[in-house]
Amino acid sequence: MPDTSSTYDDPLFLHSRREAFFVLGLWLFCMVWSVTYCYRNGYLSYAEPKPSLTEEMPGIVKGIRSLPTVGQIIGPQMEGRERSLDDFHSPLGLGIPDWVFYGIAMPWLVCIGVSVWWCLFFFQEDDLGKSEQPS
Amino acid sequence: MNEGTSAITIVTFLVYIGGVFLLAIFSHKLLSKSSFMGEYFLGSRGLGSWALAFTFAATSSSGGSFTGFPALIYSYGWILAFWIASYMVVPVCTMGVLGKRLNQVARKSGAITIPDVLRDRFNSTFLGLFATCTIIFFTVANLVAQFKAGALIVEETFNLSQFFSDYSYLWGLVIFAVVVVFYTAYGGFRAVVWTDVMQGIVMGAGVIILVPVILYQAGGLTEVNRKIRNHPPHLVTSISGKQNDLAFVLKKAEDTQEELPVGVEYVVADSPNTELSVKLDQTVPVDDSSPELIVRVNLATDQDGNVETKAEDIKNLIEQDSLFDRIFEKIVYAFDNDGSGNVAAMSVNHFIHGKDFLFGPGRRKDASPFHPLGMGLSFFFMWAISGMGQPGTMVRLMAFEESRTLKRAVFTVTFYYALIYLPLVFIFIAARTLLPYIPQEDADKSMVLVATRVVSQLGWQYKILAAIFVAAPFAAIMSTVDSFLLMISSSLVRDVYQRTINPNVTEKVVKWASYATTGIVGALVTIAATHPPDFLQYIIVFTGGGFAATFLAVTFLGIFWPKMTSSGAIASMVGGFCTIFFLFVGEMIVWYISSFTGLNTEWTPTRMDLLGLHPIFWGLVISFGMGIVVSLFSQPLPDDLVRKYFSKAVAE
Repeated sequence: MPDTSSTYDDPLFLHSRREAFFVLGLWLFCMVWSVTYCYRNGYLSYAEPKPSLTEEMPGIVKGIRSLPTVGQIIGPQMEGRERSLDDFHSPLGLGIPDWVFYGIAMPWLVCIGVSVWWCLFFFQEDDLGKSEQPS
Repeated sequence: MNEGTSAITIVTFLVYIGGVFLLAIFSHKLLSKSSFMGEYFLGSRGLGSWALAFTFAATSSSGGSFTGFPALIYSYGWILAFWIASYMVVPVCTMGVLGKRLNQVARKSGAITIPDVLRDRFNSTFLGLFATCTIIFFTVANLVAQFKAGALIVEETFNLSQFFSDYSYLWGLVIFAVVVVFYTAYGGFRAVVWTDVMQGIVMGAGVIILVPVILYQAGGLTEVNRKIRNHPPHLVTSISGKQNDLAFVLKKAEDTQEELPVGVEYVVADSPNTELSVKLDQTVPVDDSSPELIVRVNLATDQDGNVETKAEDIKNLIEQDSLFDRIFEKIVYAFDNDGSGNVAAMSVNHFIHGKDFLFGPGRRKDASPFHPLGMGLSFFFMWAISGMGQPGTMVRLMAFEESRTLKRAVFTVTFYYALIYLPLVFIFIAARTLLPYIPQEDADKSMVLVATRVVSQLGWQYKILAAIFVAAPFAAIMSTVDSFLLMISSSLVRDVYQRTINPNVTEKVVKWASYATTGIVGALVTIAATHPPDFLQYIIVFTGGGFAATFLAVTFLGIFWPKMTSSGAIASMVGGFCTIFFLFVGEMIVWYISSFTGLNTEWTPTRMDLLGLHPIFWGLVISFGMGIVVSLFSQPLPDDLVRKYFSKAVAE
């Protein structure tokens, strides 16, 4: 098959693909940061559900419900400190728990900054073209 | 709600509905100035920044943002900040990833609907019709739920039960349906967008005003956390006290025959070997949701700190209190089916501790975790990624005027969501200490109860604020319903009738078919909502996941990957649809088969969260995976079709 990639050169397509991948990278970073930080620092120890099984259930339902969860598989590697009411504190006296402050509020502020930067400096104001009449 | 507030609420509602009608009339006048179909279903691709931003924000925020979400914060505490955390990237993801490119592709093909885009991009009538059928299937189910929610708000706001007794819900439904169907059918897309702007401002203003007022009244978040922390292991039960193992039957007021509001707290001491004690406190209620009597039950614990209290012991102690005869008719065992009084010891697992409000994963009443790790991961897919795949929001991305419009809208919604969602968490965490006695079954009303409580301590002029809060969930529901109604009628008129059955239809026929379809769909949904099924919330989650799993991969790959083929597109949509369907109703099917074949059905079917991950995750994995794999091994699309959408020469 001939290489046609060089002919796929619509500037709006190329710009919007670059912008989309940047945004998806930002989403991935936020997910990894928030999930890891909040799980390690904000979760109590009994974090995983036990499967709800009864004798009467068909085997297939029991089998599916008995599968391990992501938390049971990777949770032990991610476990951070044991939390208790004694070590509860709130940075800057704002009243927001530390794990929410560093795991959610701070990255949220960073995301606002990055989103503004993305809008002002990364996003290309391409011509959308003329609209065809509905066929 | 007191009389003054009720009158102001009704006036505010009427002003609001009047405003909606005016917008529909203005919008209708614009219909005659351009191509009917392009204007009626897409606003002639002329949305400006503010309109795009607010219609996007309002459509994305269904009634759940102002009913279900506050109720969850109230019930589970700070973990809801993590539950909603992916909203930090939702604006830039849901608008920025697909927006500009989808708008361009829709312009190139002259598409008005999402099925239009797919049909033209892949040159496949089957794909267009499959997309249309899927939209109708998911949307109708969702609309029934939204109509029911709207009807309940109208019924409560106008106190219709006072006038229509047994038919109050029906009248609420009819009023809601007439309002929303009229302005949607008469005004079309532009009316929907303008009302979304109004509704978005109402919702945003409500939250922004409420935050400082409620935090001031609660003494600040630090004080709120201190109260939750220092008053830890307890569970506040409902005003009616019908939870856990005891039911408190209250003495009726002699004249009014109304129940006396009572709040019941079960407190588990931190230390072992504590004695059971009971204290009855009379209070001065500050509003309708405050109890006049608080029963504090300090539960006995054994040497290991486990609760060791029998319901019978509590009952006996309360009956010995001097206030008992004045307050209670009697106390009964809530789950004492045979009347023997042999009730099991109360389980410590029933009690939500203070630390469960301050730390994750949150604890349900059955002691299972509310938001375990798998769900934490899934919810980053649920809001930010699945939000991109909703046809109702995608169609808005086809309607803006120029790239700059999108840029400004992303900018606006980024700040709008930051000002709405985290502050909502602050408000309802604070509400936990300001209003600790909202019954679990009334948690969905916590927004209204909190607003009423806040303004009850302010001057009368602030009562209009409470009215705005009552209107906020109503506005959120309307903004979702109107876009869904329009999505169904555009699917039927444009995708089924004009593009498949009769391509030569005149504009006049299209016009009346559009009005009629919107009206008929509204009427049918209204009829369905007169007897809605019980599992509506389940259906709403199912439809959101179904839309994303069916539409996101095919749209994303279709506009960003030239090698996507029509076979790959079909495999992606069908794969995503079937995955969601199977994971949501698979167990239900097994359950039904079991019941028909005489097998035991003494178990409750539920959603299948494979490996602890929400079905939406698996739906996306399967739809993207099948789309890519099948495209790599199937017949490529004609080069000129691909170049039409991806090459500069053809683009120009």
